[in-house]
Amino acid sequence: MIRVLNFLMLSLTIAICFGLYKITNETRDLQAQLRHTASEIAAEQETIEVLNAEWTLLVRPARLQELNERHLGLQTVSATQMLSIEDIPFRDEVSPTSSSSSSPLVQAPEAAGGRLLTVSARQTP
Amino acid sequence: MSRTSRRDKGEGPPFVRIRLAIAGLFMLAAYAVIGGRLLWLAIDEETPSRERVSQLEVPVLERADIVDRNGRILATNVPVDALYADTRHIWDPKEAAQELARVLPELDVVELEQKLSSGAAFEWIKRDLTPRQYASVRALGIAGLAVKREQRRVYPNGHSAAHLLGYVNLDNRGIAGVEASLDTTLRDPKRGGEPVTLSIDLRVQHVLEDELASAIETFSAEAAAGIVLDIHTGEVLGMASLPDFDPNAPNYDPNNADEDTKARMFNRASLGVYEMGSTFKAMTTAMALDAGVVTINSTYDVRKPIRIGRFTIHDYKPKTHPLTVTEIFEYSSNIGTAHMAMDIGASRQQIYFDLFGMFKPAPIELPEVGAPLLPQKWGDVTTMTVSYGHGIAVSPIQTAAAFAAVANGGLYIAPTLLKRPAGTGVPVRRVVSENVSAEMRTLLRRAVTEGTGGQADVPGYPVGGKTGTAEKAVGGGYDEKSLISSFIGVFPALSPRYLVLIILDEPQGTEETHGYATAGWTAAPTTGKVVSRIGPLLGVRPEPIPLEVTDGATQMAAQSDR
Repeated sequence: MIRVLNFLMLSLTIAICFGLYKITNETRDLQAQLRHTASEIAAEQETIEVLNAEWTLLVRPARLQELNERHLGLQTVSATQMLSIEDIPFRDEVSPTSSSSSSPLVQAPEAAGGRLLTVSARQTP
Repeated sequence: MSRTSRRDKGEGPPFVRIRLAIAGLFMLAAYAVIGGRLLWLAIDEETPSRERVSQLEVPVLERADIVDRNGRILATNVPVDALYADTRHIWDPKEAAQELARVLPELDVVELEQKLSSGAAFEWIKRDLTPRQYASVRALGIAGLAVKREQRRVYPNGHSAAHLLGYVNLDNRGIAGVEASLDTTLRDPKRGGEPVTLSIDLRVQHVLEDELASAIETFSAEAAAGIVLDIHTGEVLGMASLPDFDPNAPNYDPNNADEDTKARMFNRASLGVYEMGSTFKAMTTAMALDAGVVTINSTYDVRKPIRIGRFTIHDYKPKTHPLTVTEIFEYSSNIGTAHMAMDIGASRQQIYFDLFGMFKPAPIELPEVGAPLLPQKWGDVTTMTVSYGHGIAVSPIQTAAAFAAVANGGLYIAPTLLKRPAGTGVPVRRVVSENVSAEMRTLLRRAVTEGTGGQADVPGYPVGGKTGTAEKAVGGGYDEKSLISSFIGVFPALSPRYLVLIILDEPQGTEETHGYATAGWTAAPTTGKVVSRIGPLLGVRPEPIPLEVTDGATQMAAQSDR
């Protein structure tokens, strides 16, 4: 009886020792991995900071304006290009024959609640 | 051993069995404790390490970013390598200095040798190394040299908003602009890297700088400054001063700078004080109306210049009939305004000026704020001249805040460079009544439609405002040729939301302006250009311009039908 108990105890001790060793080892590995990941995160964050700064540098208004003048020729929206939606003549007024209540254009004034329409202009070369 | 002997043991005297059982129990308890402790250690070890990692994940930010009101970066940090030496480990300072100077030619060999032989454990050699320089220093393989990762402050927008942002020294301490005034906030670790949000709108700032630059070019002006202000919150959306500098490399030593550098570093919008000229008539007219000494229909005889002591007050273009208060404002009559000021009286005038914030430096978050230059005695001459902006010099930001009070319903609001969080109250101080402010808005609009400020008007964005042309004080007198031309406009005119102030230093007339360098020909059109560009950006609803239904529109409608 005692012998069986001793044997059981011994094997339990060995099992616990082994288990503990394994867990400790795994923990150490994980910790190393964690440290590695953390330093990677720090490096990524640094990169993000640099990229953010670079992005800001690239989209600064002065540069965009210069690029636009060189390649696009977009102009400032002027007040004459903005209308209240009620001011836009709809088909009903323009050509009474083609009126249809299901047309999305006719429904637009209620839906948009009289918001402004913005029309951007493109300079003709 | 045989079975019998074992049975003998088991059937021994009872006290032996009890002793064995007690010993066994002790053993069991000991194992249980050890086992439990081991298990606990294995499980518990994770907890402290997690804390350590979370600290690693959020690196301590040395200095918070500065962003504009829409979250666009104005100032941020990038990591750089900084080279230092532990001179105790340098074997041969002379050789090391020569080698280093070969790789980093900007360093002085003699100075370097002194540094390297100092025996100090820490000596900076060069901050912010480029990656290439870092590689070549490493390749030298000199013992005792090491690099440290540092944060370097960068301003990705370059010159834009340079004066208000300011800059930092090598140790990342702010020494000018909001970098200096908000230094403790920016370095506060409790903020956890949260950026400081300014009231500036980068796009508005750019438009302002762009138009000021072209005004300087067109009118060959010495310098220019501009402010865009939200008159209901006091938030500064743009503040520019030209010529300017690059805060990334200010290289500025105030004790040892030439005139040109000093001019570049100077913030004309807040630090410069100027005799603003006729823009002050807006304040004088508002106080006359508020004090009840005039109505907009009261008349004054402006046919003769005012002579008082050795002073004579003239009008730029004298009128031959008495003028109403409205007309005095439209035509910008000095004589009429001076009469009005005399009716207000010196003491009431001073009370109003104080309420308008004219007697104290503008309460704005900048170290560079100019103190107003006030008259020493406030006699009749002073009462008359300050009424049209002479004999008193104030900063443009001070004037902008006072002008805002005239137009916004009569409330003085301290200008600020910090974005006001939504829903927070704005501290205000009543200066003139709401009715007076409404009347002033009409007058300001008329000064543009009928008076001197016509060129500031923009189709769709009606501007109300006042021109101001002052001669520069040179020596003891005034120089007719060097002018300070300014325009302060609010838009949309009758229910204004934004104020634009433009001030040009010594503009010259051009062919288009028929040689005139006065504000109506220089600062007013510049203001108009700024308004036409920032109006759509700020989402100001333009006044409807009647649409002509052209054939094109009809055709388009017809085409979409098919």
